[in-house]
Amino acid sequence: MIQFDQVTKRYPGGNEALKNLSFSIESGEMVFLAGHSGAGKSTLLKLIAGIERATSGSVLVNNQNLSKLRSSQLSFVRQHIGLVFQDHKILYDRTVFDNVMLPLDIIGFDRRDAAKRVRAALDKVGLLGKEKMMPVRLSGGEQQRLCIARAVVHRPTILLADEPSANLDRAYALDIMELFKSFHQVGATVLISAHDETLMEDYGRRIIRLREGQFAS
Amino acid sequence: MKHFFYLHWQSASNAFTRILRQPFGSLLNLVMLSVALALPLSLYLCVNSLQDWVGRLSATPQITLFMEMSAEDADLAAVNSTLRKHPRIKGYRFVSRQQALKDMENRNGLSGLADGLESNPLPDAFIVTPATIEPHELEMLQKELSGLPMVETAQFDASWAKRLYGMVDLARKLTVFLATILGIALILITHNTIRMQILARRDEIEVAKLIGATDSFIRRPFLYHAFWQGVLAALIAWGLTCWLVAMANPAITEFAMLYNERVNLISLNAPEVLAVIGLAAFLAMFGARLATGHHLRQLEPR
Ligand SMILES: Nc1ncnc2c1ncn2[C@@H]1O[C@H](COP(=O)(O)OP(=O)(O)OP(=O)(O)O)[C@@H](O)[C@H]1O
Ligand SMILES: [Mg+2]
Repeated sequence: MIQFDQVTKRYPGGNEALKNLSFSIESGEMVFLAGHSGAGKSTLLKLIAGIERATSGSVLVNNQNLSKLRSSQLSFVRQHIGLVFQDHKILYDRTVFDNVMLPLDIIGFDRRDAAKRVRAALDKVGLLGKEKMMPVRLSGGEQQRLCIARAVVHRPTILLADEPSANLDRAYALDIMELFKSFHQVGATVLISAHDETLMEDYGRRIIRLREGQFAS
Repeated sequence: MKHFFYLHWQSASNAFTRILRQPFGSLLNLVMLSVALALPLSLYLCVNSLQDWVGRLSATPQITLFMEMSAEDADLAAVNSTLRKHPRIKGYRFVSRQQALKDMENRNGLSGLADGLESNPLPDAFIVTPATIEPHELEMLQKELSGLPMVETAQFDASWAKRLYGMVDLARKLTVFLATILGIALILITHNTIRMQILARRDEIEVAKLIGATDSFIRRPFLYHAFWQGVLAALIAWGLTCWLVAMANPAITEFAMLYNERVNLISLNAPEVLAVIGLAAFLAMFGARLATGHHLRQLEPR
């Protein structure tokens, strides 16, 4: 499903975020991504979503080499990916409901069914009562859950979550993990990053550990 | 397929309500755009109408032979027979001095004019329609006719018509020039409006792009916005020209009557209106396309 082949990512300015990484993630797998701040977790996730391009090596998603895709084709790859951004990327000029509606608008989902989908997604993260609110009035953790609802509303086949539980207390963090697990159980490929490993170890899944852009042994 | 049209319809109506929802800013923009359109359109109308009139003028060139005041019936008969046999004359008509005076009375509503005058000041005249419209030949003919005995002058308006024709031609070139300049201005104005809008919705565009929106999805609302702006501006500009026509025509007609001519501004016809709307919409969308293209390129992954 996801395959890295000797991938190096160097940011403008010479900063090497990933160094010659090779690994693969099977379809339907649930994998954790661990590492300290600056280890390259976000960079790795962005490469999978085609938000950043590899400097060398190849990133394959669904057997498609992302570096060979045109911009419009990249968009279609992203439509099958659910992304929880580390910095949320919530739109503050529209309601919670409309934020979650955005991915469905993008894939051209029928508007009437879409409303049901949006409510179901908000229900799963415990935000159903706040659908008409503007996001500024949500707490940090609620904003994070909003971001998660937006990532799952269009039922992506790949779910990439960048530190989804960073601002959540343990109870909500576990809830969110359960939500991701339920996605995994219906067949989605799930990749979750965190710098706190304690939560991951309870699940007994594969953990990819990064340190300064390389695998930590 | 139905869904595809539904999405477009949604984009179009959203863009339209967006224009309506920010009345002041979009009104200002619309005014700018419609003035940019109305200027060349008005000039075009004037040129078109003038050209129509000049065309009618030069299509029937006429030479008027004014006889000497002392011309006798015999002299008239001599000229008459010359004209009848002349190969380069298609037809002619005799207007006696009494007839001319009566015409003048009728035309200018000056009944009783003749009574007030001691003697008729008007000469006998022949109005000649030449068989040619070629300017050089016409001039030759005019010279020849003015040399006939007892002919005072042979008046011909060729030089005047030619000059007028030249002026219309110049005005037409000016219209093309102005239309080009203002067409470019229209592109730039919409480019700028759309650029401002993109800046205002930068976050939305970035997020949409990150979660899988195609460039055409992102572009669509802006293109529709530009489309409506172009269409509305064209309609307003058309309204302005109609206003111009309604306002100017009575004055022009009155003025032209003094010279016994029928001149008036001709409004745009339906195909022309459609063409203007189409062109304005196209130019506006072109400007929007440039603006969105520029912005979207900056969002590409590196
Ligand atoms: N846009 C960028 N331009 C330049 N350097 C960058 C950029 N983004 C990340 N980096 C660098 O790449 C390295 C890895 O960054 P990355 O964001 O992937 O780390 P991370 O593991 O997600 O850290 P954190 O846990 O703090 O989110 C860091 O050294 C960072 O400074
Ligand atoms: Mg990160």
